Amino acid sequence: MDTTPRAVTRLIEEFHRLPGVGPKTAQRLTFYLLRAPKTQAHALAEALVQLKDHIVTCALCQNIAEENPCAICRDDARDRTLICVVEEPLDVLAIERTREYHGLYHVLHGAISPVEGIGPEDLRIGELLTRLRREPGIAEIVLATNPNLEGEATALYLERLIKPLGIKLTRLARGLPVGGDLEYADEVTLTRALEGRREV
Amino acid sequence: MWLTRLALTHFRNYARLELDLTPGVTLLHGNNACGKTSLLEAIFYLATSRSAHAGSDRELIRWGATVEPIPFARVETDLERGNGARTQIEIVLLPAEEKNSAPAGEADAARKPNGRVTKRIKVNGAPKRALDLLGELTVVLFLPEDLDLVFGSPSHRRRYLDITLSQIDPRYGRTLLRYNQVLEQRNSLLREFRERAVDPHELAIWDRQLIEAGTYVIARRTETVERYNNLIADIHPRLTDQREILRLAYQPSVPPENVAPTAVGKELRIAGIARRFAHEIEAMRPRELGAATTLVGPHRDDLRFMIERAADGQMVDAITYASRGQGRTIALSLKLAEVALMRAETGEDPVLLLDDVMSELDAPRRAALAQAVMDAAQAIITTTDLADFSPDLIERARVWHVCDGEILE
Ligand SMILES: [Zn+2]
Repeated sequence: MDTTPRAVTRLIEEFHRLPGVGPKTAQRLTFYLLRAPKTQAHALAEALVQLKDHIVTCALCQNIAEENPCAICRDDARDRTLICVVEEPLDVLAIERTREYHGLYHVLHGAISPVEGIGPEDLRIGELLTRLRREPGIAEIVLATNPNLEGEATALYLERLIKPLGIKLTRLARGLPVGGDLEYADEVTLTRALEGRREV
Repeated sequence: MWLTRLALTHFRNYARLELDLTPGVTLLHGNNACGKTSLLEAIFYLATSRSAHAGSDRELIRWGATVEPIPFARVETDLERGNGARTQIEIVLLPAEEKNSAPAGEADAARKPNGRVTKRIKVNGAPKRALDLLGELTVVLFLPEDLDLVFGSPSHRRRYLDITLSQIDPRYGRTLLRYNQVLEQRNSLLREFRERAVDPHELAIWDRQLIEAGTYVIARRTETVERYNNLIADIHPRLTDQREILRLAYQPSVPPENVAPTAVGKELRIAGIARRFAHEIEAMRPRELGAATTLVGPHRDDLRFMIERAADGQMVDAITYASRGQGRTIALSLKLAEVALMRAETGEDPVLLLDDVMSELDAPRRAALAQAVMDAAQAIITTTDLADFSPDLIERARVWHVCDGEILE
């Protein structure tokens, strides 16, 4: 007979549903929290609620933010003729850390991957095209998807859609480790990649 | 290069084995199914991080008898190069932690000899990807199943070419991996197009990457088969008392352009392959949409062995016309050419691994193989019968007796 309390098995199951968490890790996390001080468990629960209740999506750049439009889209000091297209919100953070880029962003929330059933319609590509039509001042788009198979495919797809619009298109130079993620590239590598972006 | 040490833990039938090795010939003598082959398999795995027999990596872990909470297998080796440089390689195999498997009864799941395996590779103590391991240790493996290279399906021959080329050229290994990933994505998309409208833009992005990676694979295979032919032109007549001529015929699924290869430079040749590839994909489009799979590219290449027919001097396909004995000689010529190719490409002698192949050969072929073995920096050979070897070779060899996971000198 399984005598494990329901609350314990439930948390194990919830952890197990997260990406990259196997059954062993799920158990370890649950029993860690079971022994941790009550304040720590409450802080985690509170952070989870805040995450879903106080985060919005910026209607312009599709990035996650506390307000809509987000701080970057509202900032008048940014170069509004430049849009950098990235896969994930974390990529925005990585590029911001370089302090070398002063334009706007567009977050796709993923990359094309038929194997995982992700097609162009699952990404914020329609929103990007709408934005390009509404804001005629845009002079350059930097395609900063990851330098792996899916990122490359997504960049090629965007290239085919945007090129006919006559906007200058550039791609981050291949200073990035091949097969790597933008998120893990260090600042020097990213800065070099931003400086050396090439027209496509 | 040569191995100076081999250590196995929970690998196949070995609970634990530590072996000091020396340059030159090592003969592992023992009955069938007593674990001689596992030693060669371990060495092959350290070189390629692939199983010598197309099968599951999970079968390499010694299941059942282990008392470890989580079953695993470890193989380690120290090797030395001609210039004195030393390298240490270690691979640990663990059953992958399966996501979304029921938490209950997971200990049982981890013990099941199927499912995925995680490999942890270290070279000189530093973690490496499987791709970065290639080229550290180069080996040529001689198996009784080599006959399948001649008479078996094209996939045997592609796997053989791929493993050889990956050991010689790390870029080939990387590009092939990329090609296979693009292929998987493209096939998924073609299957999706059965359920929804075809978007030509979506297909085009995968076509381009398929052609990029595939062109390199085809170009490298073309070049390598030519080099094999130069070597085999010497080797095969020697093995057949000058009676037979052998030529490898590479049959790419993307046909070459109709120009003599010598007439154009390498760059133009590669551009030519890419052009033909693009053309074939375009032509094949309706059939691919119907079949929902990629019908053109190096994953459909073949390699054939052409021999001269005695009756009329015609070059004919060994797959139909060769006897089993001729097939064995063809496989041997191929492997001996591989040894020479690796030596030329890497500047280093590969380690020769022979799994009970002598007994399959007749005396002249045996002598030729024995010569190659004695010329090698290191050869590790398994046998059930020492009488298959000349006294001369046994004299020079270290002989070990293998029995049920134990080894005695
Ligand atoms: Zn925004």
